[in-house]
Amino acid sequence: MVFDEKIVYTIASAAIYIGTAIPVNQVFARYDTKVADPFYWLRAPFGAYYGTLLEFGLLPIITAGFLWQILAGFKLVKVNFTLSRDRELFQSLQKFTAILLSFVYASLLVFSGHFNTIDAGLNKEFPETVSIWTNLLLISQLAGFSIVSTLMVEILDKGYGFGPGILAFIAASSATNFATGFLGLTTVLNNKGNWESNGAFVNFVRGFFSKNLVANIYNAFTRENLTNLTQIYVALFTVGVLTYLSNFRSEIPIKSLKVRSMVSVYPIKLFYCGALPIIFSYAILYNLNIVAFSLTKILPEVDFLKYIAVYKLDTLNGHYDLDSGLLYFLSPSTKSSNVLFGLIRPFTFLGFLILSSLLFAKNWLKVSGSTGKDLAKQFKEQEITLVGHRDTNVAKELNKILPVASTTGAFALSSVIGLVETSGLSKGFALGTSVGVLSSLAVLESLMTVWQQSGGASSQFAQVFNPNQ
Amino acid sequence: MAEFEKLTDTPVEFIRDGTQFISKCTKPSKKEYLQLVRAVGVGFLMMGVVGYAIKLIHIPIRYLIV
Repeated sequence: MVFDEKIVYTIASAAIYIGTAIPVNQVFARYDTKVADPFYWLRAPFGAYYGTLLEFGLLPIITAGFLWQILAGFKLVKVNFTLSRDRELFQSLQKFTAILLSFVYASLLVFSGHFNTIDAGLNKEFPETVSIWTNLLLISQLAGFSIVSTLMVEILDKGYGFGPGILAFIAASSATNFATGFLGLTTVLNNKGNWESNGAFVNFVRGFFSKNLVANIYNAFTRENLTNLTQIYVALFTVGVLTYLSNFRSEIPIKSLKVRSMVSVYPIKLFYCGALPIIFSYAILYNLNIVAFSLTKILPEVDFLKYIAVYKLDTLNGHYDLDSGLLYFLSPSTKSSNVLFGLIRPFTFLGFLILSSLLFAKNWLKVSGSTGKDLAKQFKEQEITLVGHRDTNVAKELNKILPVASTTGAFALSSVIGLVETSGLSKGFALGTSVGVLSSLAVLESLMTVWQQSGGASSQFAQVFNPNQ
Repeated sequence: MAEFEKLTDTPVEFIRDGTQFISKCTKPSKKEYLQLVRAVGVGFLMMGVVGYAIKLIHIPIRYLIV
């Protein structure tokens, strides 16, 4: 593939992905429908949008990918990756699991009344009778569309664009979320009956031209139904810190075996796994929350479920908040009715994020095939070696550095994001923006690699990426 | 006591290795950092504005399918 064509494929796929966030048929039957979203704080890193074809976004694909790669990495399923037939079967298995997952989740959510409208005045769910055909139509739309999104990820992964596909889509959708939350010009009718701008900054400026100046400006910083300015500031701060950390690198000196005097450095980044550790932690939380929410709604008479999760409806802002139960302790929800629970929660949430990302980072090198041994093999193919080490020692030396880099990076990433999120100020916005920035850096890196290899001579886009201009 | 030491060994080792790694890391200089932040900021915002423009076509679609 030519460099330019790859760029066009990447941009077009990302544009289609964002464009498909259209409402599912039958959900927004009226324009001013009141709906409640229990997963608003989990959606951002998965490119998921409430009540649209992207209800789950990339979650099924990411979950299936993690699940099978980890199972194969720990030899629980035996895959011989040197055989192309085994590789093909393994990839088909991942795709099939993703589609199956979205079918199961769609069924669970539809029958739990996730897409039903709520009544703002009565503080309870609208007593709506939905026909079985409407439900089946909803399930088939959501499950059917997951085939399309799985294939779109595949397009980028298979070398038609700059991958990994999930990271490209996450980058595009979080950038869109950020721009919408910051500068969005469109207006939405809120549950208090006023029109509000999507963008926090636009809303803030609009506040100056209204009668209740103080109330409007206070609202611009504290509103919860749409993005507020506090979230924007918190997100900018987090991105600032993470951009600084993402540039930390340990430079190990290497030399060429062919040309005697050529010595240069090979950078090993602190964020060796990129944003993947935190995506993994949130994928666990998102999956648990979907199952717990549907079960508590489908089986309200089962008493035991209140120890798992209790969701409290917040009609004014149009979402559910976790109130108590096991999942409350793994959430950034600040709205528990129990004061003691509220004091314990930040620590359990932070602890969960850090531990799960650490475990992920510790094992991911082995699972994804990027251990010191694999890197040493690459070095050998390119005929380079570490300065001051014998050829046989390269793998051992790299194995000392790589796991430390990936775990330390995961620790730094998850503690920064965990601290910001647990404060309850950002509600997933800072998380989405920072995961988006780290993902776009990863995609940019794969783009630069291809550009350097092709020399960029024939590229129309070359001037944009030319660092010397 | 030996078991307790074993239990605390892993985190202590992790912290020691981590701080050692970070102290050996090449950190971005102020100029480098400002350049990077500017590039990331402009790129990300541009990408977002384009995405927002694409999302605007949802408004007519919403009217059509409702």
